[in-house]
Amino acid sequence: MSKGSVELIGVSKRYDESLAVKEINLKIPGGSYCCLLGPSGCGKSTTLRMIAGHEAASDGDILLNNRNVTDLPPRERGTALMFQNYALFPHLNSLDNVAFSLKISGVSKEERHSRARKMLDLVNMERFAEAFPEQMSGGQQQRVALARALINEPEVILLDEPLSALDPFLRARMRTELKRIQQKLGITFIHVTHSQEEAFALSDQVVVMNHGHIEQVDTPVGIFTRPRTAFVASFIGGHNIISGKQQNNQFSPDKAVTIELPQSLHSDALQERTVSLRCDRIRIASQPFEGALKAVARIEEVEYLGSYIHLKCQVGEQLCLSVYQNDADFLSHPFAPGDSAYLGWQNDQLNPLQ
Amino acid sequence: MRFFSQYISYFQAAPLALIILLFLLFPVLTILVVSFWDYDSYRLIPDFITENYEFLLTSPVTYSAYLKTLFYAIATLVITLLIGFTVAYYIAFYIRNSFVQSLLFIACTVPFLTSNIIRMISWIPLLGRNGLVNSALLETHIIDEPIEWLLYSDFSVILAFVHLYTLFVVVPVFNSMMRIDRNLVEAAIDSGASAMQTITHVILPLCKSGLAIGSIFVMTLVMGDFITVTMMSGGLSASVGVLIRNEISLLQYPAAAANAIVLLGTVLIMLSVMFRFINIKKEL
Repeated sequence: MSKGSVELIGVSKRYDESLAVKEINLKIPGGSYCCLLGPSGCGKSTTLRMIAGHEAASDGDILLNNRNVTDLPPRERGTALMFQNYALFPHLNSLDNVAFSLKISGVSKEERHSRARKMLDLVNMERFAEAFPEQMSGGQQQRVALARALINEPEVILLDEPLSALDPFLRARMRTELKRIQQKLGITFIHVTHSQEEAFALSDQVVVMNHGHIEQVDTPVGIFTRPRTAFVASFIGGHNIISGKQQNNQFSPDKAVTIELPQSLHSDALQERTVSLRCDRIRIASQPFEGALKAVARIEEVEYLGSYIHLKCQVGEQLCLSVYQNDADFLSHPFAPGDSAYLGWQNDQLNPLQ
Repeated sequence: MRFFSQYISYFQAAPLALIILLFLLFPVLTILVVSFWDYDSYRLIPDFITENYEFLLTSPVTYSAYLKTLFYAIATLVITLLIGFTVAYYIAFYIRNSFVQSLLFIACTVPFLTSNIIRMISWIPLLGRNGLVNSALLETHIIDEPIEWLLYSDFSVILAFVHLYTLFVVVPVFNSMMRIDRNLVEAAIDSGASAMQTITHVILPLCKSGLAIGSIFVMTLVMGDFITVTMMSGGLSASVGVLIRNEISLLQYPAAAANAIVLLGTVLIMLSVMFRFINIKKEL
């Protein structure tokens, strides 16, 4: 296993009565980019802070390179934390901010400054060595904070919502930058975010969390094509979640609607079933076509979103499906609210949820 | 109407300007003028003489009083800064609960509900020759005879000053500390700093201005004090304030005025040195 692997074994965090993190188990391979994704309050930041050593785990073990670091102080773990608001020291310029930990450990001024300069160079901030935090923009402060995190050659960098304070344009640029630096250094990045776009763009591994436990761990492709739970499917967006009764391979979310499930989901007994279906995998047409649902759908809402169009369709009484239609199809035959339409999909697109 | 809008800002500034003029500049100017007057034992004689200053600046009494006052000021400053910083640090960083935090902060101010004089006098039964401290020490046979320097000494003067003025350091330092982003402390710990290194490298530099403001309070209060020195030294030491008071009680107003002007100048010079170290505007 390469350097910088992180493993959480049955880790919990309890605050008074409430459990912020519930016995999570997670393996992050060394040198990978891992995103902890979830809504606010899901325990992702707490998990990160426990790995960093700023929060003591109430239960369980944290391994770094197969070494138990659960009770070690932050600096002895070989991790470095980058804070959401950057937490640069306002009384120090960029160079001294980056060199801070070297100063603490008693490295001579010349050496620490030359090493700090190299780090500033890595994040393209060498021109701002003398600038104080208040003289720099958010993006610039971010780079300096990254350089400060990198100076001790940590094996794991922990980033707490690093991009959320930036404007969208800068966010995209810093995202690329983070990935570039991670690949250049080959160290483990663990990145907490609530933006699935960020997580998908950066990660080798996405960990979706909710209410203090892990919902799913997979690659971005795995998460998007095969969400494991209804929470994951709704959190990442772009999915319809359909619940109903199933017998054999006939699935009926509504009295008037029967959907044929793929053979792999066959069940003899009558049971409840929930599946997800990607919005962009639904074919929509004004005329019936081969494999279309028998029931006619009524268009409720039309939203133009640039490269695609979001159509909200009502099928029967209870089934409401969102359909993403590409703009070329839409513009050649535009739907309007109130129109009737036929919907259809390949039945292997139906993804079972737990 | 145009006239009015043109000068409206002057009207807005006028009340404050009047107050400063009336209650600050006018009295100081009066003192300045009087300091050049002549006097005999029962009246003031308007004049322009420099004798008051000549006498003041050549008298060894003045120098010993200034030395004493500076000694009190610096000793008090060092001790109040140490205690004030420690107390503020404890309240700001060790107490996590903000309710307990405000409670402790208020507790710090409780002694200030009584008057200065009462608080000073209350030391006397404690520190006197037959006071609580001495009798307790005698009872427990730690000492054989009462300690003389507990009361009516430099020790008791500085003790009283520290007691009176520590809060003036706690408040601005606590204020500075509460503005320090808690993430900075974590960032320091993340960089491997020990608790002590976090204090010296992060917290201390970031409350520099709070410490400076506290120092200004303590300095000016101690430099101008006469009552504490008189009471707690039993009239045995003389600070500049005591000197001025004595001159006033002898009706030597011009001499007292000259002394006051010199003291004012000294304190202003000390303050201007302190202001060099901080950006006071940033704190307000």
